Amino acid sequence: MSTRNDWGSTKIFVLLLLAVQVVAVVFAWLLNPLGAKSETEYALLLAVDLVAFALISYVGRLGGTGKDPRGGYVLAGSAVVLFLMFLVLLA
Amino acid sequence: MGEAGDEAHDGVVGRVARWFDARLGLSYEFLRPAPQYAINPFYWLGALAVVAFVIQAVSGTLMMLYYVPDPSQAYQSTQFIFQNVSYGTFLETVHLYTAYAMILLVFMHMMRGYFVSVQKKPRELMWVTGMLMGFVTLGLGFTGYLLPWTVVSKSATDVGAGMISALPQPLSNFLSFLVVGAGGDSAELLRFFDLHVIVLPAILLVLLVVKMYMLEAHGISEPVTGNDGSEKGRKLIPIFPNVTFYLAELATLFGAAMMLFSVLFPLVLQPAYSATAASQYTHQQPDWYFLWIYQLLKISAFESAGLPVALTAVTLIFILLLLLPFLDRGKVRRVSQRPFYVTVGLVLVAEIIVLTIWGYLTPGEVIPDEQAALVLGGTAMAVVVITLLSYRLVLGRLVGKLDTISQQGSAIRSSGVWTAAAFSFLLGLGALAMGSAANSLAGLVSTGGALGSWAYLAGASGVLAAAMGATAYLLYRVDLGTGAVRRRIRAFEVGWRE
Repeated sequence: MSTRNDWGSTKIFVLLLLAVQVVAVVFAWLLNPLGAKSETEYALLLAVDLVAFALISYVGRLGGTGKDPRGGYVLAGSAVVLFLMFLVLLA
Repeated sequence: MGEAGDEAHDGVVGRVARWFDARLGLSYEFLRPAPQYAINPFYWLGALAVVAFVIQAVSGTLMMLYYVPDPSQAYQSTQFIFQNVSYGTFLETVHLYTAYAMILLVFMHMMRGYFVSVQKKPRELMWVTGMLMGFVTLGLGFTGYLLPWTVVSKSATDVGAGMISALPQPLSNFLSFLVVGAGGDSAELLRFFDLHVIVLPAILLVLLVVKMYMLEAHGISEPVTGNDGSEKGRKLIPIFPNVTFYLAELATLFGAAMMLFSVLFPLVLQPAYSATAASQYTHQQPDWYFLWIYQLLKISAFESAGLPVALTAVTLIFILLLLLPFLDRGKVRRVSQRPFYVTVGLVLVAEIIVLTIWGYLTPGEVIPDEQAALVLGGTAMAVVVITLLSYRLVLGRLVGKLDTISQQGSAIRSSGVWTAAAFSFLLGLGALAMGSAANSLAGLVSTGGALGSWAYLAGASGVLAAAMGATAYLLYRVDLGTGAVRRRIRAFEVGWRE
């Protein structure tokens, strides 16, 4: 059973992911669509958005059924989002 | 707690969701709920193939705004998409990779269904519909490959069109008219374009609706272990929101993987097709998903005169897969109790993988018969021996018989080794005899019926028949497929001592 603190941290986690999604969309919107480099950045930002959505959906789905999300999955998903954002910086 | 109480505790998101639900009826159960065991990616391989199809439909529609299906402009318009359209390379790359992923997912979906026997009553027609969807998917790949009009794609398509012309009449004429047309390159490209963007997607959608209707009628197939026995496994969960969001997670992760692939391996447009470029291009071969068929056709015995035989054999494989529910009519679904079909399936998968890799490594080379017989026969032999040994060991454990086997001492254990050795020998002998027979047939054709070739053929056929007879006898003695390990091993041991 989830405690009030668990729900609080889940909400913060979801809000962080939503913020990441907004930032990714804004950056994607600002790219030059004809540049070869932009294509890479655009694809990576889209991937960030998609993985963040999957994480939000996972946390929300399990939260809705009263189960705790698996920490391993959440950590792995968060690591993938960070890695993709790191790749955007490198691109 | 009542509805008013729920609303009082809902946040903004909850109230918005409730507003939409009241108007769109999202939580109205118009689809049957899914069992808990379906929350497993292997149950959604077909759904992911549909997701890939949707991504292709979106990216393909965008590319269609610029593409011109005419040989004089096809390459230039493709080049325009790559160079001048916003995120054009990304569009092309994602379109191609999702097509590859779709073919792979369809193959995995089919083979999973094959191994866990989803085709059993009452889902026979679901299997047939799924197989037809698989053929349409391959058709989409074949027709789409030509559209960029590069030297690689045109050469590969010419190889495929050449195969069609080797089919028996009137099938050959009909398919040639349908696919290639009678008016040269223009007619061919226009037909491929129409098939790729209108005809085949429309057929696929109709088949998808039919299959979804049947899925709704019969529900998701139970696990082979029989509803996994637990209370948790039997629990039903509503399609919305649980299953919908689970599918959304899989779909978005799949989409992210496609994005990452497109970043790591961006597509590079190959040189344009021209008669001169094609004459200098020596590596004509189809895309990877047809490579196994092409490699089969490159075997020396199947060159020229043998081509119709090989094409008939490949067609037969597809027909047998299509009609599988009417061939495998037993009620048993467990993998552990279907050694014959599981072994055949594993041999098929192994041969397809070996032929594909081999084809990739030997572009344009004709494969000698003996080499083909050794590689294909060796693969089949290895898979059969490993599978049968696994069955003897794992099946014994599954039905709790190993303790009784171990009580009977080393004689029974050694009988397993003897069985494996005998199988290995017989299959190797059969493969060699088959290669020799094919070689002697080719010799007969080339020498016009020389006596030596007839003798060679008779000898090879005799050895082949002996190997097949001995294998059949061995299979009979081992008594495959009954699942009664103890009884059959004891019978085998007694027979062996006699």
